[in-house]
Amino acid sequence: MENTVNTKLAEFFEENPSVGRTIIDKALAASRAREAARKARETSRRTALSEGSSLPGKLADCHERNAELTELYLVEGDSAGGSAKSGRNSRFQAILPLRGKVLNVEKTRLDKVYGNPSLLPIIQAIGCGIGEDFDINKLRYGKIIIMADADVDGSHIRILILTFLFRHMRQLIDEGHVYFAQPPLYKIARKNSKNNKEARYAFSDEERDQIIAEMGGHNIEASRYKGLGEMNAEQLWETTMDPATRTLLKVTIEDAITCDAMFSLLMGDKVEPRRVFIEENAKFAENLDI
Amino acid sequence: MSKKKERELQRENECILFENQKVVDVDMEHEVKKSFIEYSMSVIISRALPDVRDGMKPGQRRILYTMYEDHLTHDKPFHKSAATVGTVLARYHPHGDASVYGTMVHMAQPFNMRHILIEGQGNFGSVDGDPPAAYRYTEARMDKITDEMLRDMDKNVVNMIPNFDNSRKEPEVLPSRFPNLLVNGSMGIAVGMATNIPTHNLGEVIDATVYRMENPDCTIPELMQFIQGPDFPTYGTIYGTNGIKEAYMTGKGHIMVRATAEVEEDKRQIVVTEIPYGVNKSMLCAAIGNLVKEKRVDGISDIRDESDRNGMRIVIDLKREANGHVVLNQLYRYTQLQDTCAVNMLAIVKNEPKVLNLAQILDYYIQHQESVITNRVKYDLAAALRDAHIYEGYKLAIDNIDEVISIIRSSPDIATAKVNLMNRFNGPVRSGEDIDLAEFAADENPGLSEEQAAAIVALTLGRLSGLERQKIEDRLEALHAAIKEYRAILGDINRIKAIIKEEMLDIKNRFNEPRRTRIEAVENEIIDEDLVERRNCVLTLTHAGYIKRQATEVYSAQRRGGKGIMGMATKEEDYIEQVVSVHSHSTVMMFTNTGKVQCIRGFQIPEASRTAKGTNVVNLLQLSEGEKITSMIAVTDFGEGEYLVMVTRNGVIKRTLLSEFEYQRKGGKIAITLDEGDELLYVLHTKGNSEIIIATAAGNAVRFDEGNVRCMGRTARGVKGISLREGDGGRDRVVGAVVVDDAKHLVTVTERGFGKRSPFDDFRTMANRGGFGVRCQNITEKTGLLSGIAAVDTDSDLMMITDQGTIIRTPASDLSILSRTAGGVIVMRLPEGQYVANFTVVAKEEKEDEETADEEDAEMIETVETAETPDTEAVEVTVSDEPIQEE
Repeated sequence: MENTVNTKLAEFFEENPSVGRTIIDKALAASRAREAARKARETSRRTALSEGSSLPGKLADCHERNAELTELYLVEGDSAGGSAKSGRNSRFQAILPLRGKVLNVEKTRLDKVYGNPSLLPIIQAIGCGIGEDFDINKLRYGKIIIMADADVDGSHIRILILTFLFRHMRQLIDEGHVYFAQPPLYKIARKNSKNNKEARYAFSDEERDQIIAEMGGHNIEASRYKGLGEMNAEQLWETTMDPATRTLLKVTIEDAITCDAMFSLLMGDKVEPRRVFIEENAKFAENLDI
Repeated sequence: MSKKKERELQRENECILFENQKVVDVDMEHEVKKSFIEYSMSVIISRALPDVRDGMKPGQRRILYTMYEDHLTHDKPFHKSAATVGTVLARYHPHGDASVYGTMVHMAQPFNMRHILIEGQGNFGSVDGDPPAAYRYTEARMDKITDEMLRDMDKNVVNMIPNFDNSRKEPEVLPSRFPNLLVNGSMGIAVGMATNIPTHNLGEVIDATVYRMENPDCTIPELMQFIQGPDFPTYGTIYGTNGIKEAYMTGKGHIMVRATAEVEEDKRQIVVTEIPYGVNKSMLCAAIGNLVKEKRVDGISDIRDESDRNGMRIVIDLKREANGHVVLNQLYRYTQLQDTCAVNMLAIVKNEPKVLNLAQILDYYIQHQESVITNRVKYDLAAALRDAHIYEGYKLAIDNIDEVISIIRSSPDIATAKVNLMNRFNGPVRSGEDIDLAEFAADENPGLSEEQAAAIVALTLGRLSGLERQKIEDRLEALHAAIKEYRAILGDINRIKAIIKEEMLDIKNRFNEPRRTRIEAVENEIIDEDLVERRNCVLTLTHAGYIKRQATEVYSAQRRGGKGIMGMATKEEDYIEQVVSVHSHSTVMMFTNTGKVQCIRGFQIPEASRTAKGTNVVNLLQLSEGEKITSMIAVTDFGEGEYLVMVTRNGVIKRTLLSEFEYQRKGGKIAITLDEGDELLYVLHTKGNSEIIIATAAGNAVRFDEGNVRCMGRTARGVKGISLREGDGGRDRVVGAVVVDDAKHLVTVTERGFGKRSPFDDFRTMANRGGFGVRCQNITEKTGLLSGIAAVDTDSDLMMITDQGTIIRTPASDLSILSRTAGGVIVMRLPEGQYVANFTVVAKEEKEDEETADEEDAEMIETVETAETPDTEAVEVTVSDEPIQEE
């Protein structure tokens, strides 16, 4: 019996090397993951001992404690973080500025994910822990809102954060805690008008055209926002953060299996399939950076 | 807490939770995919990759254009870097200041650029990886050669596009009057793809461009007479030319670059004076230090970086007993003292990333130059036409000077004077188009346009002097000549090419420098190859795809074709399908049933013992589902004048130059485009004047000249070679194809073990291919269908293999010579249900000489394989007259 299985299996692997390689990769990855998790637990235990509170220094927390009401804004860049901080309602809105691009967890070994300086503040602020230790009951904010610039680098940051949340805090997305903020794309104002009050905002090209028409169509200037930092605090609150006027985009998963495959494809370490994907979908690209 | 406050809080909570909240669901998969495409396409098209025409990434182009706008040329004083960076950000580049400064610094670093485009003042970094000084300290201006990148910008030669906030226009591409992409190279990582184009010698690239313009159909090896290879600003030596050739032919290749080092035996030192391009010197020294610490390299006692203002000098002290050359070789192997430059010539062509070969890069550049020069001449023409128009007005005024003066004097103001002039000269106004001077004078009632009238009233009195009048006429004449000239140029692409050539050669004269990087051809570049013993081998491939390599001697001679030996331990129900003789260092071309070909070196196929099963080919080649090897050809070089003739199961034949297969890609190349349901079965190696016989299972054969099959491109479908018999359940198929050799005989063997030899003379050469052919073997119930054919001489042995994996070797001379229509005699007695699966012709053992040249050897053995025969139950095998000896 053992003998037969041994010969046949060896034969099978000889003829299907890719299957064998996949199994070995899987085993290696699993062993690394276990090793990493052990290290991470140790690290977190140590930090808990040394520092009383483990909230990141950059976090501007809110004073509401009821997680149902609170919101955490993950903001791209310190420049936008500042205006978000002064524009927010500090009762229920917390701001965590992220510097630059966060780590791509899909390409990184697990032990590097824990304790990564770009991800650690997010983990600490959300408060649920990560991976196996994840506990949704410890969630500190009801809404995790990703607020990035409306340009292509902002798109990239959204993907990077989603990859991290999907891989390590999947339950947050499943239970509908993750949102995108939607900053306006255009500011529309009368030419030579210095009064910002008159300005109106458009969130899409159609809306922009409609507003221009409503305002009479003459002497109107529509400027495209390049980044959140271009808005001052008041504008940011009005357009993007005020629950009464803003639009939030709730991230939902229709098919978890295809999402899983998608992240491996787009963010994983195999270049060739990614190139093929880009080539096949290049024609769907709309808002290209110039 | 007061009631009022509580209520307020309550209301706010409701507001946060539900009221007026606009929440739209978005599907993560859709959102991420869309964002990803936007991001990746932006990075690919407008960030990380250079344009094929000017070799600039958008960031670089914006810096140069900004400096051009601000007149920061080489003859002006240096300008603060911070100011330039700020201007670039404000005008064209809405991104980080650090990245703009980094890009600017790169263009100023003489160890990165073959010709720097920006001249820096202050600390601009070093090969040690030291950072440049902050931008508030440094100053910069464009270098002299950068003028050529931007020359004629003011003449609308390139397309201008709006900047990010629509407030200004920026060039889509720079005029780039020298081939900057190749000269300065480019390196960039985008998403899903990256580029790495090495730097080149300006003069060589210009010469190649000029040659390409004169010979648009020239080959890449011809271009390589000019461009010998990359020329790095850091000197060094390129080792081996194969990588260069591959990179230029395919756009991708690996080039080995070595540092320049001298072993000074008397001082017991190795002195390194040049390091490979892109290598960080301090990291290199640290790496050598680590090697010593880890004891991976013995014989080094100390390493010092003695570089100073006189140049680079790394000194490695040797221990007393060490051999300097051995140590140096170890350093080459283990450190970046020898570095591989992985060339990947990817650039943006018409908004799409493309991997380009050398000729394509030059062609796109030449196209760009043609457009630049055409636009420039168009601009000059328009300007000349405008001027000519004004000067015609002057001339008219001078010819009628008294009248003009009196009109002006009698007018109350300038505006009226203009109107009065136009009223007086109210004939047809010449537009400046199609002017002929003689005709102009003859015109009786000339007219003035408003522009001309305005110019006339603006004339100064001094212009009316005799000398000035002559000047106006001379100028007009010159303008007319220029207009004629510009029109002639625009109408003749060859004149545009001549201008490009002349101006480019002028740039070469002014800026060319001798080549810095030496190129050394190395005979045997790949070390692996040298480690493998050179000898002749036999490759066997089974039906299930197991392949192995054995020394030829394993199949030892047996007298009088008696004994069968187990040629290969096969899996149950597997049998050997192909046997081919190769030299360990020749290239084996593996053709598959789906019409593709992949190459592998003989020594790359694992050697195995006679009874071992071997390795499955899926481990060596990239095969898709259902794809299998049907033919193997061993070649030593891909010379000109050699051909591959391919024959499919359904009788299609195709001939292609062997040299078309020289450059291989992973995953294989298409060798023939097949009809639905057809398979590629036989491939022959011919010299262009051979005759070919194709045989079918029904026992028919056709012979014709290979010249009848026109030579086609690699991916062509081919033409009809032989017609198959209809009916018989569609069992008729091609079972063999051989090259006619009159010194040999044609052997036919049937599935039931009948065989014979027939003279090739028995087969008449048909005038045309594609017929049914003539009988080559009488097929009966007893003989079974034809199994295969081969060409043999009397010195050959016949090696037959049954579908059970048993091999019998019989001298070919033992087979009777019979007429082509005969049924043959039994050569292999087979039990019921067993078939001859395949047979192969091998040289007689005693004739074999170990020193035989590969090529001869490859020709001595030819393979003929049958199409699949049905698997049968394992039966005790008996062969010929004598019982089989099991091993």
